[in-house]
Amino acid sequence: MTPSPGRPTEAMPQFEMHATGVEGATEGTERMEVSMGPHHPSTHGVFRMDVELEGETITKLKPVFGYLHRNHEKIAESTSYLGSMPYTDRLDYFNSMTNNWAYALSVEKLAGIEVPERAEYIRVITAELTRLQNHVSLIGSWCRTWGP
Amino acid sequence: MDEGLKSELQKAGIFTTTLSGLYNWGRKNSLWPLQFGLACCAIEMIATSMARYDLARFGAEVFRPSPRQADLMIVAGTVTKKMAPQVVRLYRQMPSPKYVIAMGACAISGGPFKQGYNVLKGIDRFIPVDVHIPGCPPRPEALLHSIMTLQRKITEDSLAKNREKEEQERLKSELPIPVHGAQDLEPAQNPKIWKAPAARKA
Amino acid sequence: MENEKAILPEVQQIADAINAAVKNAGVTVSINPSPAEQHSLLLFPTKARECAQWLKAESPWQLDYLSNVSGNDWPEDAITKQTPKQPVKDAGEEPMHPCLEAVYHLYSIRQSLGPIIIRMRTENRSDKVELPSLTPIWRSAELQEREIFDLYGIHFEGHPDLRRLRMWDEFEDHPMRRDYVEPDDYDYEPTPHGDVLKKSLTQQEGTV
Repeated sequence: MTPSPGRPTEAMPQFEMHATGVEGATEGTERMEVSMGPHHPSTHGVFRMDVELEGETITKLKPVFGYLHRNHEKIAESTSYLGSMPYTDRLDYFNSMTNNWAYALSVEKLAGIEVPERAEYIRVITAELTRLQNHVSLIGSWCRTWGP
Repeated sequence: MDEGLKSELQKAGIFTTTLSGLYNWGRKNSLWPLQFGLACCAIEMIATSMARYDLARFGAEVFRPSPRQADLMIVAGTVTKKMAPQVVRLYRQMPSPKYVIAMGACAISGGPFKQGYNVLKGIDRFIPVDVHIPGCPPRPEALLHSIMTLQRKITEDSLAKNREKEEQERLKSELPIPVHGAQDLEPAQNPKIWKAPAARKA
Repeated sequence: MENEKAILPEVQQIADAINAAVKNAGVTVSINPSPAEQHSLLLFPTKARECAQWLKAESPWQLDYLSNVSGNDWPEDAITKQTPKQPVKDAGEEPMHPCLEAVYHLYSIRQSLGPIIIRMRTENRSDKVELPSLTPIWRSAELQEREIFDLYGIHFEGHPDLRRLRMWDEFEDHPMRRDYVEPDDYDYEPTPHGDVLKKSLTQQEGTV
């Protein structure tokens, strides 16, 4: 299949994939195309964007994904329900226990299992702890990116 | 030089060393890592550089974003086949002498995601790796231990230029960059750097 | 769990409403045999966009949030033969012929309903793999349909920008299909897995 560039089609004319003009752009700035590749200090982790900039305003952005595609779904086809639990840890690695909880919820729904109350409390506590850790890492990254 | 003579001179305030010893001492105590965190092991790398397990006391304080200014690449995280040409390109852009630490199970051999169609089964298929750190993810102490192992390795480097060493350094900068093929990377591995280990019959 | 059942409308009710509102819709209910009891609606590809538009804008449930689009692969050996004696109620979610499938999970934010599940099936797995894209109706389907195109091979008509998302552009296969064969680049592992040991014996030193 030849890749098709993003443009309004007859099926959906209301979606403009590119911004046609920018209000407030200062005169004399030229349009610059920057490819912020997968290795960049401000993109934490691998993520690639092809950005079109006019001065400091972004007019067009095309993201490219797939640099960390580790096919958890394909592996889960050949392991048990419990066996694919460690992989959910590594999905969003800043708050890993929340992913475990989400996966456990879906398996319980499929199998019709009831969870005791104490387990629910423990789940909430661990989810909040990992959320705290996530936010603290975020603040650290901010200080590193914007600070000296 | 004789050890006894050395200690005698040291008591008198004269320090003796070899030129390569001095050179290696300077290099090993100021390794500048390339900030190259791909996935979960990156968090452990960040934790190692923070206050509790301090990486700065080994001289590795500045994590440079640009490969031209770094001499140590810590590959932390899963290397996918989509990302592999970029990794080799970055390695080529580092000036030699350069070192690579493969951190975590994913960088050594694909790790828990070894059954993947998009996962490169070990970064040492394409670039020469000096230190491997097992673990998923390895503790920060393990990363500190690997830096110390690397420092020991650097101490044994010889400064005397010989043909073989120059040739090795030159080849490191000309490693072929793998190309995305129809099903897999082409070539799937670099045969000069990595050979499949012989399988023992179970 | 009881509260969830209370706010979920009867799936049969939704199917009847769509059939009444959209001409020749032909919507049927697929029964889910597991304890989760998440029954889904099976739409025809030709009328899917009209049904989806009605569900979003004019239906009493106002399903305005598309949360997930997944793909599914039904190869030949996944379909158990259905005999005429078997009642249709036990049919479950299996299709009658090998096909690829797209599953949409819809929620309503205004009325706190959900999930309502919609399925669409292609005609076969080899050449007739087109489905209408629901991106004009719910914008969040855009990237997810690209992922399904990449991993399963379903071609979505009317999608503004259909190209590969996860794999590189020169890749030539659809990896999540059940009959996908991985490239052979295993090396030896010291733990004795049957399959992996067999595969790695071909990669011994000297034979690569």
